[in-house]
Amino acid sequence: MTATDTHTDIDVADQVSANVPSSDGLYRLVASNDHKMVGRLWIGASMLLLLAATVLGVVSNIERVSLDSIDVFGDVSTYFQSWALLRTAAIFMVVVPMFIGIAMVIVPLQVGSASIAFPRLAAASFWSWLAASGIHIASFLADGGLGPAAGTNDEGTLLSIVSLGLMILSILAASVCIATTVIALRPAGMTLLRVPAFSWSMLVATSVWLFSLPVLLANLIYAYVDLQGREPIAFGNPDRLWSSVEWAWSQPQVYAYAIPVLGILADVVPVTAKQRQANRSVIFSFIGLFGVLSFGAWAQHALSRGADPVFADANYIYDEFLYIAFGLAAVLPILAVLGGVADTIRRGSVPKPGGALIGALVGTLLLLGAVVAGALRVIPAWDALHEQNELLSSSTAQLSLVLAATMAAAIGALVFWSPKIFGGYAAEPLAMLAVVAVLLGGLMAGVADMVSAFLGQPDISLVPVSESAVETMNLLVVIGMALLAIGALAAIGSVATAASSDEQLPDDPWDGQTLEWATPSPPPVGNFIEPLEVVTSAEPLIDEFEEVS
Amino acid sequence: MATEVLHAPPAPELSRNRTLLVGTAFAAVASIMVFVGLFAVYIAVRQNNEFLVEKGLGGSLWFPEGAVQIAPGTMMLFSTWISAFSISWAVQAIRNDDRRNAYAALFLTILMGAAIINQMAFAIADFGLPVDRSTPAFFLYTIYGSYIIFMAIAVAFVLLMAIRAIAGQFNSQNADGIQAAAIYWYATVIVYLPVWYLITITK
Repeated sequence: MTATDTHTDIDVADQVSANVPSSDGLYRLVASNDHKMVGRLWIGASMLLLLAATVLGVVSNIERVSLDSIDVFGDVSTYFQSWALLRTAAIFMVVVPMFIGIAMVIVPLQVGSASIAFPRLAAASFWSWLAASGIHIASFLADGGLGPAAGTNDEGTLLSIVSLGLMILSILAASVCIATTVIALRPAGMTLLRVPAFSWSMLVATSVWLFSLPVLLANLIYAYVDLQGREPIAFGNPDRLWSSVEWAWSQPQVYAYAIPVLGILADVVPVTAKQRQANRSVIFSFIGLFGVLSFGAWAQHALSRGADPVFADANYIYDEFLYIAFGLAAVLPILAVLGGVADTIRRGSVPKPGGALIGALVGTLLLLGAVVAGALRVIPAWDALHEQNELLSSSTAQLSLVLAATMAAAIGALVFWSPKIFGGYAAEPLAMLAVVAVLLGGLMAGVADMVSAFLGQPDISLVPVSESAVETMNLLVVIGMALLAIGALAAIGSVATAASSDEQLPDDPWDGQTLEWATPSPPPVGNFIEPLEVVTSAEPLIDEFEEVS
Repeated sequence: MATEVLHAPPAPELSRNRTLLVGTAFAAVASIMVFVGLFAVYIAVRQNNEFLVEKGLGGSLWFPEGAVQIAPGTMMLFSTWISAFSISWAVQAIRNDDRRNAYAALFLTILMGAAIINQMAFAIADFGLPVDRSTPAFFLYTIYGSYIIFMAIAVAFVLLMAIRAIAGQFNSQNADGIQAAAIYWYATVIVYLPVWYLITITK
């Protein structure tokens, strides 16, 4: 009975009905390998960590409002630790796990599978990720960290490296489960082109993660070995540790974590417009292209200038043609997907603006904003600024925009699929409040950090810059982060409403087009009550409706 | 009616999902990418070192004369090739329901894996450069150490599938487990080629 079992058999715990005593309920929570339960665990944990991360974002940025003193954290080292923790939390505790959670519930339903591939591995990936996240946070409390000059305690830094590595391994394991489900567990007739857009985007996203995150793991291996009982050469040196892994939080890799945003939009719009998506192959190609352009493992400083300090003034990756070209080209696929769904809206009925549609649209527009912010590197003024500072706060701006984009899209996805994920409707007013707060917060934080970058604010230090306007911009970032925290809180409230609902829901409340809407809400163990018919198009439920009528 | 049934075309073969094969392929790609990351940084740092030596700005002789012997590394290369052959043999044998040959091939593969780990441990012990004072040694120990872990995972995978085969699983209709183990094993063979070239040959 290992993860390599080819059977997708269901754990006995999953056979327990909904009306179980609370002790059985807890057992079911911990021991289940049902993909819906595991997905809910991923979603719940990442939403709580999202709230914590946005609060940390507020506190961390308050420190930058006044650049000439350390008021909140007491010393620079502690500030750097929170700075690095905010970044690792945003990507590996919030953004990626959120999409993994939604995918773990929805992808098997969309591809007509009774279970996710390797259900035990899927469950193990969640628990190991949760443990690693806890250890990672604890490592920062033990004076560890990945930030520049952060880890004042070598053992704490080692713990940070190991826990981040374990988080990545867990995410890779979950990615294998999701990608394998899309490739191997489709029903008869469902070609890859007939796979729903969200499942396709998850296949692209998990593939990019499987290609790029192991490279980050390699960087961490070097850092770990470098710190073992010797004077670090470069990789494990606390002053250089961040620069050896920084590529994973920068353009273009930072886009890779947001690939599913495009899939959510391309799934939600046709349903709300009650129209088949035209030119699916084109949309799918552009989502794939976005995935290719977001592969960022090559954009490492070490590969551009080496790790030796002698090369510190030469050839930053930022100045290289390929880096700038990838940044510019990434705008194209997002515009293409937006154009594709706009055409669907034009041909269909006017969609009712709800949390799902608005969330997906806002998410995509914020993602476009993040990519455009990266494309601004073509402006000649950047060269002069980069000569003064290696990292400008534009990287933080992009990270804030990507975080906001994924938050908005995830809220949209959770509202849209809440009958399948939670068995109830998410609270629309709270969801709309969350999306608006995320839109305003993301824009405020992202634009303010971009303006600060043009004023010469470094990304990773508290060095005072000549422009006093920077402090005003930093105040706007604090307000933006506070709005993101409010958005997170509202999103949790909206989802909690769905999870606590006892209402009997119809199988297909939105007139859906794809197979997840052919299951009861919430789906039972095994997902599909009757055997599926051969799929003949990308919208099997519309086909069925047309046959009947 | 009965005649119609008799003359009906045979039912199409039920398609069997290849979950383990696909999942293992993804895992193998991810494992290979770890080494791509290790090699990329190694090559970049080494090129920088050569640049520094050429310009007289510092740097050091990458591997001191005699530190890396060609024989152990090349022996390991041949061992990986033999193991690639033996795991292919295991796949073919199980697909022909030839269990005796399959067991022999799986045993040989595990043996070769253990031999490679042993040879690599020997090469590390024989290297002679202290890890705490040399950049080249740091890279060699890290890459060899990572490869030992990679090979150990592959050996464990093959061992698990061998135990299942002995217990009666896998036959000509379903050889997925052995094929999946073979895919992962081939990844170890592919990864060793650049290890051999970058460390044993170019030194």
